[in-house]
Amino acid sequence: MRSSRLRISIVISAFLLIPMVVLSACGGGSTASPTSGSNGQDPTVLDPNKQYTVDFWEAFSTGANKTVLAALSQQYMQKHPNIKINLQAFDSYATLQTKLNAAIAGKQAPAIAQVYENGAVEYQHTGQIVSLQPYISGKNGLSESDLADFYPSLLDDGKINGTQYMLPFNKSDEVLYYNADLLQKLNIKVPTTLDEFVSTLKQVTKPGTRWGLSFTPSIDEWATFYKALGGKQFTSQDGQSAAFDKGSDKAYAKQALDLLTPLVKSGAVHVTAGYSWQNDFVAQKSVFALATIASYPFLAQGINNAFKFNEAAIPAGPAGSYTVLYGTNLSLFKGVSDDTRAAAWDFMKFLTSKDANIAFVKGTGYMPIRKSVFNSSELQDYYNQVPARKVGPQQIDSAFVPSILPGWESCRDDITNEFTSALKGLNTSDAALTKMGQQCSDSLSS
Amino acid sequence: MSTTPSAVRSSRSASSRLQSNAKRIRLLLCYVVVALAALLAVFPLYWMLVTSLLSAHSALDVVPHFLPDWQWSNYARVWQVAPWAQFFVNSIIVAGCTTVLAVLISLLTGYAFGTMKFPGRNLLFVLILGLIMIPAEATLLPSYLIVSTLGWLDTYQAQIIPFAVSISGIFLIRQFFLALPPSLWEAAQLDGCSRFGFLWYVAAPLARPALAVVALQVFIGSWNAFLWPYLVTQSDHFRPVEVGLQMVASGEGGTDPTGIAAAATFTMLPVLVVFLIAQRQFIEGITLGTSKG
Repeated sequence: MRSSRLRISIVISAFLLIPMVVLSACGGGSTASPTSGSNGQDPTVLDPNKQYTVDFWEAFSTGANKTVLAALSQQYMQKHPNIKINLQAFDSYATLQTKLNAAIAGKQAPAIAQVYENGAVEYQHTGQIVSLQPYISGKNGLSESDLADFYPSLLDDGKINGTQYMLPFNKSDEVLYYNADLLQKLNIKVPTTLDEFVSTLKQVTKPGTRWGLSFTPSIDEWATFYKALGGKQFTSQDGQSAAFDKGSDKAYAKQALDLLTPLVKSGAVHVTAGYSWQNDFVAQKSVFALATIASYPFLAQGINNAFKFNEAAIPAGPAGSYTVLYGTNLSLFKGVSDDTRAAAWDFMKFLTSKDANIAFVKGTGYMPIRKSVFNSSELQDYYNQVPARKVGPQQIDSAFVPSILPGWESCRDDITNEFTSALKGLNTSDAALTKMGQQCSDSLSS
Repeated sequence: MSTTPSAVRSSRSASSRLQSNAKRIRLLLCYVVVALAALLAVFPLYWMLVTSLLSAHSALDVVPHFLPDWQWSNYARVWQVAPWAQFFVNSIIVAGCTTVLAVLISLLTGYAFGTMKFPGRNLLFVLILGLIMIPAEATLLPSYLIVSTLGWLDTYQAQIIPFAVSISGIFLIRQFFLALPPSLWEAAQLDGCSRFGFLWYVAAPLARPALAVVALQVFIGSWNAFLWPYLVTQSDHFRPVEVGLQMVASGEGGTDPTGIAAAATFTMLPVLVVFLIAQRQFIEGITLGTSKG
């Protein structure tokens, strides 16, 4: 009796334990353990007889972005059968960054990931990402002509304190979308200056039925107006406080807040939330919209040839034409072995190469990161078919990132909230600017 | 007042007519309330279905469209933007394994608590029940750290093991076994049956309705789970369908309301089918264990 009970207990225990062990064995793979590699001095050398697995964390979870990246990865793996690229997609950049932080804390960082400039600065401070200089100058590096082929503003965007820590990847900028059919019907030209923009908005507005502009305000529009009007600095030299609310820049910051506020009050501008501005534009309830070039496919799908729409450069101010640079760069992380990182570098080189970037730009609509890509016959043919897509890249030289300080992430929210409250008339521009400056300084100094 | 039989009869029939009218009005009011409640419950589903069949232009229109444009291509389009087949397979594996483990553990534990007497039985049961009081959010971080330390991030077991024990399932099965007459076990004992033998050959078959309820509740809960799988998965290889839906719904540059509605519709379909097939057991589960004997 006792032996049969013992036998049954063993059977039950095995029945419970075996699935757990089997499931553990079926667990997801991870990159090689972070042991030191055998590359010696040159970090770019790969052993052709060794198998590598590179985890690439990105935020291309759906649609054309995902398809194009998967195709490029497949193409790379076909040329490099000993390197396996694991694409791990997350639903948003915010989730990607949160997961990266958690993975770094758990010593499970990927080899390569998309990063924003602010995030990269933080990772650089804590030693989580590696400098790309040794890779650029390694045997499998980038030549001088290669480096010169990148747009300087995009390459500089990847530098931290003068050292290259990132290479540009999926870059975009903000443009002015407009209803081309309606402007033609009204015999109105696309505005090229801010003054023209304001007067055009009043002209095309039909109170109660049509707004001149629909947009969801954010720090990016405010920053663009600020620079175009003459503003220079966003943060102080030591990075500990806001600079836009001080000295000569204060007037431009206030002007940027005031530019569209009277138009909101008069009904020429519709302040929306999220992507609701697209509803207005698609339904022809607004004539203009300010948004990233990444919105183009969504607009095209919604409009479905009901009317012609186009992109134009953001109207220029007295200080010139500016636009905000969006999108991420690529960085290599420290928490993997040297040879895994060498494989990741090779993949990064491939992704930022001319041919891969041409395919990437054509498939996703992001901006070319190299001049040779923009000037290539493939892209020029593509732009001839879809002229609207050319506007974003043509603004590259005037694209900027307000700040890459880690504390600037909080500043973005502070400025966005106060800009929106000023536009809606909930706050005067003086009060909003004071609050912006104070909150931003607190965020930067904390 | 007249008291002739006809007067009495007519007075009685007027009174019964009044009562019958009052009954009809009460019934009508009940139907109106139920119909309103049903409308409130069903309308979001209807809206989702209609939106999934609208054209993109109609979906973004400021005027709401209550009738579809019959754009079935929305389903085909959104199916192609993400590896839905993989997501469904993952959900089936996770929900299936969680259900099997939960049913097994509920059966064994419920049987022990319901039929066996051992020191500390009641205290242990109360402690187990007390776990229901702890909100899931409170244990999210320590659970994540445990899973991360075990190296289980982005695996099936990270999504299965934490939910392999169903407290409500244990409670349901215990209540069921409490209702079993002790004479059954005594008779089995006389025939030389062991505890496990009694469970396997007698008690478990009798507990099939209760086990079906537990299985149904755990399956639906596991299929619909979002937050935990969202936290512990990192790649499409292990993402379940609800996390996949969230990834499709978020996108840089804009939204695709018709596609998202289509995706929401087909992710909901399996659970809806399961519920429609087993709704009797589902509703039984609400009342099971509330009465003893």
